Amino acid sequence: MNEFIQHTINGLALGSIYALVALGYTMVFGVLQLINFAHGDIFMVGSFIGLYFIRYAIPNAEPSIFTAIMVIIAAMIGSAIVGVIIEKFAYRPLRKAPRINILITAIGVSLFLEYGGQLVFGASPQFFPDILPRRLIDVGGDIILDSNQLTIFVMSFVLMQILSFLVFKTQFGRSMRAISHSLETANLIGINVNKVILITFIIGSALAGAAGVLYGVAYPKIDPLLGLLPGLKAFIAAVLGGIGNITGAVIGAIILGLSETYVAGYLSSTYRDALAFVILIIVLLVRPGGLLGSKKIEKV
Amino acid sequence: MGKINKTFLLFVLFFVGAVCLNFIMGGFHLNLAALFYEKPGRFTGLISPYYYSVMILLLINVILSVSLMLLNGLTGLFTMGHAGFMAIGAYCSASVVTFLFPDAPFVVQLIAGSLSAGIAAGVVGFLIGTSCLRLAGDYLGMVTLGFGEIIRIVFLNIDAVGGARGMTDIPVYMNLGSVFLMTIIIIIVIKRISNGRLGRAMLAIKENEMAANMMGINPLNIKVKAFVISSFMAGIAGSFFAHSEGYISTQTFTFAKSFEVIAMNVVGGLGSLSGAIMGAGILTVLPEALRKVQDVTGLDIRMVIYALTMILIMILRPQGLMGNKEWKWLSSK
Repeated sequence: MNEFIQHTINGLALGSIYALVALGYTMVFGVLQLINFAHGDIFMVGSFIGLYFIRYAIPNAEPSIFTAIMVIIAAMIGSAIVGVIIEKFAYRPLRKAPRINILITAIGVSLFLEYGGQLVFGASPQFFPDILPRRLIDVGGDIILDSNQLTIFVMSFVLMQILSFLVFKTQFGRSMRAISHSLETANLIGINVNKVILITFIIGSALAGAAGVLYGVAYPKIDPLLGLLPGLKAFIAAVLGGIGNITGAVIGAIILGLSETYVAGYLSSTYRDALAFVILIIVLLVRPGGLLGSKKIEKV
Repeated sequence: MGKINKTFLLFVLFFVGAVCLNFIMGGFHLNLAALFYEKPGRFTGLISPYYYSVMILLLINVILSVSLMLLNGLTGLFTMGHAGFMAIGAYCSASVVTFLFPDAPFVVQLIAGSLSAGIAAGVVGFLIGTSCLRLAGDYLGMVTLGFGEIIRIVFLNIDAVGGARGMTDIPVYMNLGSVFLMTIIIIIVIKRISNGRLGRAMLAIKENEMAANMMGINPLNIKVKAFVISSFMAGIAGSFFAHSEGYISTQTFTFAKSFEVIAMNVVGGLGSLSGAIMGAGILTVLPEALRKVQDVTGLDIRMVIYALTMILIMILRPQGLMGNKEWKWLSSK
């Protein structure tokens, strides 16, 4: 039982990182119907921006909540800029092109960021410094609560709250939801589609950047190919919850994080990566819209 | 019926041709590994080992790209798991030859390896195809991506085929001539399919499935056929890969490989056979050609340039390099 609770805690921390990345996937899919394969690599870029920010901008900072927030904000701004550049130069010229072209471009951008990252950051893994005062809290009964996990969970929760306010309570959110219903109609009723898409990319990339730093806190070894697998899993989480659905992305990510830690804990860690894909296939075959997605099955 | 006979004839022709070629080029060439690690054989006087391996890789990529064209371009089924079929072919053929026919003559190994690879991949393609038929568009892509990765992870966990270490000491019997012959035959087979009744039916399904159904085409049937044929050929490509490299590991068959094959199709022009060949050529040769650039700059910028080229082609020529056109010798007229 204690082991189970320990796995649950680990799973929730992992799931909340996936959730931040999955939100970006689901938002971009909502407005553009595009699987933004480069999103996982923006997550990686965020992680590295955080690393370089600590190393060069605040080299003497003590690990504290304040430092962590500064690093996260820096990573969010940096990733948002990267996101804007990608949207402007790679995706915008293709707005009218067939979807597969945009998909290939996304793969191209992903490769570009990975190999560009190897060029700029170096291919070998780097150590992500402590930005939080780490404490292991013994809750009793062999359950150890890592304060980092708690911070990750709380910070993701706060960011998600901000996002849900943006999407459900503001004018921008209303336009964004309108576009995800129908881009053409939204255009007709006077929504500046390009602007909204740009802001969507900014928000999505900023969340991915924050997730990158939190990932660095949880698994302090980062390299330019780190975005590949978490990116793909976050995407699966988004599909699981119902792609295009914001609440669904969070629920899907938590489910995925939990089930991965359970499989790694009770079965075998080599099957952990397969699990995500098994979930993906089952969901798509049984309930193609995802858990919270619309019932509309994409048929002929 | 006549068409099946002709296709069969082509396969027979291939095996006969491959055997003849092997004799012409000399038995010395059966062991490719020796060519790489020991002093150069007679053959290296013609082509250096490096170009030799790039050319084999190019031809294998052409087979992959052309077989995916049947699914992606012709039938309009967007799949992202082609590397999985290739993995099945590679592992199946390598295990069959290593465990069952380690000392058999070249012809037996070739037939056993290629056929078992093709059939195994075809059967899995049939299973995946039938289970995914409900899905369309991006969702089909995601499911096939998932299947591809699961296939890879399953092989990663089978110890008999090396697991994470990869499978070593696979008999190396493929040579450039055989691969070349098979590539030509596969291109001809796909050209015949796409210009024939089956190809027209596939195209009709891509354009409008409902209308195709009204015309008396059974979409499910055709889609499964497309899946089986395409995965059969990808399996053969995998078999060739295994028996020309002599070493396979699951790292080769990640989803990145599937994306690479899709990119070949799209860069060349989706739905164009010539485009698929051309795309495979460009995306295989470009990273190798850029090695020279690396020597000059001292930085590994070739993959960055590769990625940029991919993005630029998509932006500047969205229909792909060939568009819908075919080269003259491949056109239907």
